[in-house]
This record gives sequence, structure tokens and C-alpha cells, in this order.
Amino acid sequence: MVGDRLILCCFCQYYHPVQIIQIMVCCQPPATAIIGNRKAKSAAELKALKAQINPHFFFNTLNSIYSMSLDKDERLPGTVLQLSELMRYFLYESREDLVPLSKEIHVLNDYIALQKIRSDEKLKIKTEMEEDHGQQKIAPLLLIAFVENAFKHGAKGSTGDVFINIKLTTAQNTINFRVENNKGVVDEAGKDDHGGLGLDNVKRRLELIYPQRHKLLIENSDKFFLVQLQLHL
Amino acid sequence: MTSAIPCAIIEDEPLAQNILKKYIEDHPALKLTAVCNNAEEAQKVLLRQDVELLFLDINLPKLSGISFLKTLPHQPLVIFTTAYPEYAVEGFDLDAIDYLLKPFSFERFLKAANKAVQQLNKKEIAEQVTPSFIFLKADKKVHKVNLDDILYIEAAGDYIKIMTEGGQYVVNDTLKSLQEELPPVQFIRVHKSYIISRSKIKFFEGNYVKVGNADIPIGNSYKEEISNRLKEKNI
Repeated sequence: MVGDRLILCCFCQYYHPVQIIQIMVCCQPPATAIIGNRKAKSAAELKALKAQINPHFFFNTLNSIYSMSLDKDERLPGTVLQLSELMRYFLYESREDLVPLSKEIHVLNDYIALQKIRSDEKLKIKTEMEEDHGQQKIAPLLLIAFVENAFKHGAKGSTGDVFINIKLTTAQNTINFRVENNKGVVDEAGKDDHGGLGLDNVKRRLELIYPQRHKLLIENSDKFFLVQLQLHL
Repeated sequence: MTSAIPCAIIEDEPLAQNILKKYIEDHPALKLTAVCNNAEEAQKVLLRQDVELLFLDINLPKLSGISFLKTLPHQPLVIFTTAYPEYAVEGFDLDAIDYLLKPFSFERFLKAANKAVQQLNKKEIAEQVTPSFIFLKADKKVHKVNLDDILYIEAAGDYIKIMTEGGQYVVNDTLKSLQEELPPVQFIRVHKSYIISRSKIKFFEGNYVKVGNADIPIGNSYKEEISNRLKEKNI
């Protein structure tokens, strides 16, 4: 990509200059009648899409824990607890269709903490997430998918400074989630996913779970990558 | 071998570097000369200094370990360290010595390092320099054991016993995997639980072979090969 900032439209999968398309509403007009058959099909597709965190994350985290154990590092007990919580969430609690928003955010914080432990001082991460979420519920592992993607492309894309900024605000039944990271080159040969499947997957899940109830804006410039998600819970 | 092998770590995670640093420090035949956070740093280091063994992570920032290796005109020996088993095949295509899956124990590391030491030894033996040896971890120590001193090796459950002229070492390993580290010209398997040193054989008697003062049984499935080798005087 050169020059102008382009936006990847998550609807038609093409890039558009920012000035032409300011915002992209990623939901198809609803079919006039959703017949049962189609609903069942979506449910099956959703199941297949069920977000899974990259298994490499777990092995790399275990490696960090192993390293700390050799040094009797004081961060070790806390890290084991964070990993346990994350695993419990991924293995069991995320089977539910909806989970408390507070839970998703708690786990998101654990995930970020574990990623931080693995990184060096070149990573500058800023999180601003509202604490009080009342009784709001959200489909599990949606938010974390964007953060995982930021770590993958931000941290692995640069040998210099890496930044990731995460912000979450809520208003009534709406949440605004924003993830921004530096962009770099991620070498195909070392890539641990298959061509950015991660975000395609989460986009499809949004379409199925929150049809007409979300806006997703992805800005992909040569310097940074920005995701802005608005969800009506 | 006259001096320690200069090694470099190429790994972007500090805690993962920490493990390798410790392991290399604990290995008497290895000397850590550089720690690189990415492939670019490693390329610079390799221009400046002589590194004979790389501990190379695959999922590095910007340039992967595999791509990095392909850029090198003269490849040092390489041991891949990664959480990604799917790259093992490609790793071996690139003539990697070994492939360590994170997290890995010191024993597993030792095995990989021994393979590297053997390879470098082979080069030196070809130049008629020194006899070869192996490193074994027993009693929380890493012992340097001359291959010429080994009489035989016996499997004992999850452990193996290495009997030498100077005493025995009990090591947490399997016979099969140790055999891979030993030069086949010098050691032969005679039983599912025994490997013997060819130069230490005193005589064969019935289903036994005398090695040092021990009677080592010859396993049924090894009999034919051994009698063939005897006939050819290749034992």
C-alpha cells in the first residue's frame, strides 16, 4: 500500500481510500424470512468458527513459566494462576453463547499480562478499559481475537519499538472497542496462522451473532493497524 | 576437541533466552558468544564473529528463523527451538541438527547439543585430532565421558546404565535414543537391553558375549546379524 490511507472493507474485502468511505457498516440487509433451516446452518457454522486461541500461545507461555521456575522468579505463582484462568475460560466457560462482559474483560487483561511477560521492553502497551459493566453480556472470545491479532502483527512485525493501544468504553447497551498497533512485515515462513484467518473468522462470527448490531472499521495503513468495533449487546 | 564451541542464541523472548543461556552455561563443551533478539542482529553478529552452533527460534519478528537460515551463505550447525511442531519437517530439510520443542528439559537439550558436538568431532577426527566423547547427565552433574572408556550400556526401566572402565553412570534416557548419538562403527546393539563397545569384546560363548568382566546376553533378534558380522570378521 502506498500514499493514502486505505481501509479494508470487511464487507466486500477490498481496500478503499479513507476519504471515500468513512465508515463501513458490516451487516448485510436481512433476508426477508429467516427460515429454520438457515438458522440451523448458521448455528453449525458458528460452532465451526468458535474462536480458538492459538495453541502456540499456550506453549510459549508455558516456556516462560518454565524459565521463571529455573530462576525461582517471584512472578511465577501469579503467572500460573493467570494461565489457569485463561485456560478455564477457553476450555469451559467460552462454550456458552454469552458470557458476562466483565468476565471477557478480566480474561482479556490476563491475556495481555501473559503476553507482556513474554515480551521485552520494546513493547509499549496501553490499555484503557472501563471497570464497571453491570449485567452486560457478550459472545465470548470476540474481543480477545482482535488483541491476539495485534500482538501477532505488531510484536512480530517489527524489530524496533512495538506499540499496542487498547481502549474499551461502554454506554447503555453499546460497547466501543478500539485496538491499534504498529504494523510491520510478518514473514510468511514463520507465520503461525494461515493467511490472517483469525480476523476473517471473527468478522464472520460478528455477522452471525450480531447481524445489524455491529460496526467494524478496520484501518490498515502502512504504519499502523486500527480496529474499531461498535457492538450493540 | 580443543576448545569450547562458540554458540549464539537467536530468540526474541527474554525468558526463552534465559533458559538457553543457563543450559549453555551448564554445558562444558559450549560457549555462549552472542544473544540476538532477531534475525537482523544475528546477521550482523555472524559477519563479525565465528559461531559454530545456532540455537534458532523460528517465529522471530520480521524475518523468520527459517528464512534467516536460507540467507546464510555458510550455515553453522543449527538447533531449532520453537513451539511449532509443524515446522519440524522443513527444519530438517534445512539440515538442522535437532529440533527442540518448547519447553524442553536440560536432558533434551543435552541430547541435541551432543549431536552437535559429535558432528564437530567427526570433522576433527577426520583431521586426526582427538578421540571423541559424549556428555551425560548423572547425579546432577554433566559428565564428559570418553567413548573409548565405555564398555557397554544397559537399559534399566526408565534409566540406562553406562558402564565404563572408571565406573558407571545412571542416566535418564532410553537405549534407542542414546544409540543415535553413538558412532555405529564403535558400538553395536546385541540385545534389546544392551549396547556394547566393539573394541571391548573379549569373546563370544553361546548366547553370551564377554565385555570387560560382564556376560552380556545376545538377543534372539540380534543373533543373525552378529553371526554374519563374525563370519565377515566385521565385529
